[in-house]
Amino acid sequence: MNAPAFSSVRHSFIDHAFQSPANQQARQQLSALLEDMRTIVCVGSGGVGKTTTAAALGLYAAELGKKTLVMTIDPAKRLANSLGLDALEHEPRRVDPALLAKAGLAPTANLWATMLDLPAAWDDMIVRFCDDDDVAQRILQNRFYYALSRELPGAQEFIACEALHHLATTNQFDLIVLDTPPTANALDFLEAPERILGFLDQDAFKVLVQGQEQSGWLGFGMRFLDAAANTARSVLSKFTGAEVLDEISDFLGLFRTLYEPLTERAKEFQTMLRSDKTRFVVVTSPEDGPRHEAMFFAKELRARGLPLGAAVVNRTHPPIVGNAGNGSKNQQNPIGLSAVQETLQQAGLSPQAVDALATALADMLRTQHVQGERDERALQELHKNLGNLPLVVVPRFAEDVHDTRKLADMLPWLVGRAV
Amino acid sequence: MNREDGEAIPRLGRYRQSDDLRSNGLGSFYGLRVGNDAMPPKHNHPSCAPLFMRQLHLVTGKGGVGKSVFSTALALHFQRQGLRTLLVQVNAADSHSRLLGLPTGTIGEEVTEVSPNLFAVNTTPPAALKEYALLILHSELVYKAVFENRLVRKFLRFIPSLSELTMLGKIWFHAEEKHEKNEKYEKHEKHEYKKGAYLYDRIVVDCPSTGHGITFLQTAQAVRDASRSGPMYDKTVQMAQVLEDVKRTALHIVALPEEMPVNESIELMEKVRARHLAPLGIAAINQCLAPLLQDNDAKAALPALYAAAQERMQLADPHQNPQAIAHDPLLQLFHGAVLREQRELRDQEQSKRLAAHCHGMPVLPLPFLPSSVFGRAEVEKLSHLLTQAAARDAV
Repeated sequence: MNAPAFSSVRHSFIDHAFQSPANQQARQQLSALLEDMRTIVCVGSGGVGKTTTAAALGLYAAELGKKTLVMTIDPAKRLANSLGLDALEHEPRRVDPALLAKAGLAPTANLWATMLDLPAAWDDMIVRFCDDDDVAQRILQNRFYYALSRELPGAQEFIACEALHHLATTNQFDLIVLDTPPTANALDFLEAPERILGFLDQDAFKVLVQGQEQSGWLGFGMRFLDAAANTARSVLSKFTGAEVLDEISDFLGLFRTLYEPLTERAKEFQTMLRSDKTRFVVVTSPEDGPRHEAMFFAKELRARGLPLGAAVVNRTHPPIVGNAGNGSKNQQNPIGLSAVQETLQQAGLSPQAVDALATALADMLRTQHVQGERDERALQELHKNLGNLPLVVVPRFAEDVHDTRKLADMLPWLVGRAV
Repeated sequence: MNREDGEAIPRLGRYRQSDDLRSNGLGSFYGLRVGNDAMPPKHNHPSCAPLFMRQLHLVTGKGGVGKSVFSTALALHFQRQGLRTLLVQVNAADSHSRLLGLPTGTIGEEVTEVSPNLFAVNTTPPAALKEYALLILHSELVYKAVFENRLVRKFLRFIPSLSELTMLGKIWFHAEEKHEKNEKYEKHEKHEYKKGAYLYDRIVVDCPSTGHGITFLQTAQAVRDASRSGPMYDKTVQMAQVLEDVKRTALHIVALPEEMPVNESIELMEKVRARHLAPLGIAAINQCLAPLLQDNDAKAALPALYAAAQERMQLADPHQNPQAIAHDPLLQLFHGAVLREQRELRDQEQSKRLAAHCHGMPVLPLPFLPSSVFGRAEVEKLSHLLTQAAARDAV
């Protein structure tokens, strides 16, 4: 058996998928972004290959000769291992060139990776911003701080921005590719700074929790408000228990000194994300949920003046080419089946065997055809919705992409060439 | 491209793997395949049937794995048994209406009977908060005065776990609801309810996806452990009791046969076990591909197809003329079969990995259903598979 000839069958088919000039141009545009930019932020809903895409783009830039850092949030273990990451850590670590060589890649020393531990990063930031160690420790132990840093929508995103900002300002890297936390909602990322600051600057907290401090207020209106707040306080403490209100009060008191540095930092994030050396890449799949989320994300990014560079559509089923358009509607004889049956009969197989195989293959083709058509419609919708944004289409692979070799295999579809 | 050399070809001979899986207990998938004969149950195979006898069914898993599909299919299965069923969606855009073939927006914040014996509701934090507050305050007036105040509303958003707690409270409330008098259920005459019987025979809760799902489920325990007294404490003790009750509750995990969803499911099961959050129910593996070649005749024909493909390849040089190859029907089919086989192998490998962590949970692989729009028809198919699984296990 001539194995190499067979392997090229596989490649020629996938290579053939999504190779229109428009697709190729989109890949070149994404490649150009990686050459020109200093920060690439990959956004999109969970489960669409965001981490994988970020890692593949980073690998490409590193192979181009840029000193590149891939910041991942929650990588699959095998992917993390293949990048040499075995534990969460903040400090970027060089991906061992030997690991790349082992995967058959040019052993560059330019690829760095880090896997962020977001709760720990929050705690670190608090300690860094607090002048007083005792205050810092009391904040870390407060239940409301815990809720803020772990559960409030936007908290993960805020701290991911902080980590990005921290590393970007050190100028250690030519390019940082940030993989963002899997969001339930695009706005969790985009509104993270406002939400965190909004949380800390609640009039409601001041009125309800720190009523005593408002005693300087004058005038009937204010006193009325204070009285209403007192009633509300007493009903709420019946509802939540008094200790909850006390704890919030304590938390706000402790956090007061941090408000200003955090606001300052949030402004710096905005500047960083709007820089002309930053681009957002929206990652999606053709499926309904992620696709709608991606279109919403693109709209919101544009509305906020954030620089959108490209959209990557992973896991796309290639259309069934050839005479699929008409043939596949014929249940008895989907594309090419009669030719196959003929060939098999000539090879001397029994009619039952030929029929059995043909039936199975017809079944398979129908499934693939349905998927191909569905994804084709999804791509058309994305094209229409995203306007002139480069739309980079990556086919669905048979296997999960979880090692450096498979990352490299994605590159012809992502950036139009192999490394 | 040398790495490919050893890969594609030997795989064609690996269909035997599926036989291994049959004997390893994952065979239920093949038994569940539409239009296929059911596999005989194995003695040590954990059964779905007793789980389906419980009242409260919590469905969770990573985002995008088909929790809503599984939840609606399970609810349809219960409805088919003549059980009065409540389907609850928790704080998400209403997808159940579409999956049940109802006009968008049919299911809202009020419990609605969408078809005989099937009730549905989509609960949101504000709606649940109101019901919960009224439960504790016993006064609509006080509720309005305090909770509808703009500042209070803003403030309430940030009380940790409050929205989860109120939504759990709502689920608990419905689980505890009882018939107020002896009644014949008019739309299903064969069902008579005694005064004091549970109002809903079955409740299916489509929980938020894993990250938030676990937060959601552990809320009752967390609040119970953190406070010592007060109305909130009393209620959460009761809620946690219902959630932990092995006779009453089952937490079903939905996964896809892919690396990340399987990892998350394993992590989730371990957390649930460690913290005794709720009794684990079924591990459903969604979108599994059935083996393409199940038939020995078809398997026997495969080498000939392979040889023919080889021959074609040698005739057409891919580097010279990729188009010709891409349009060659025989090669195209062959290529499709190779990709398909790789997917099957991945599905089996990942299913096996998940099953290894299931420790006594029934593993229920559900088939991938090709369709351009996933709707009522597909959900019904899956619900029939659940009914079959229950019937088979009950034998």
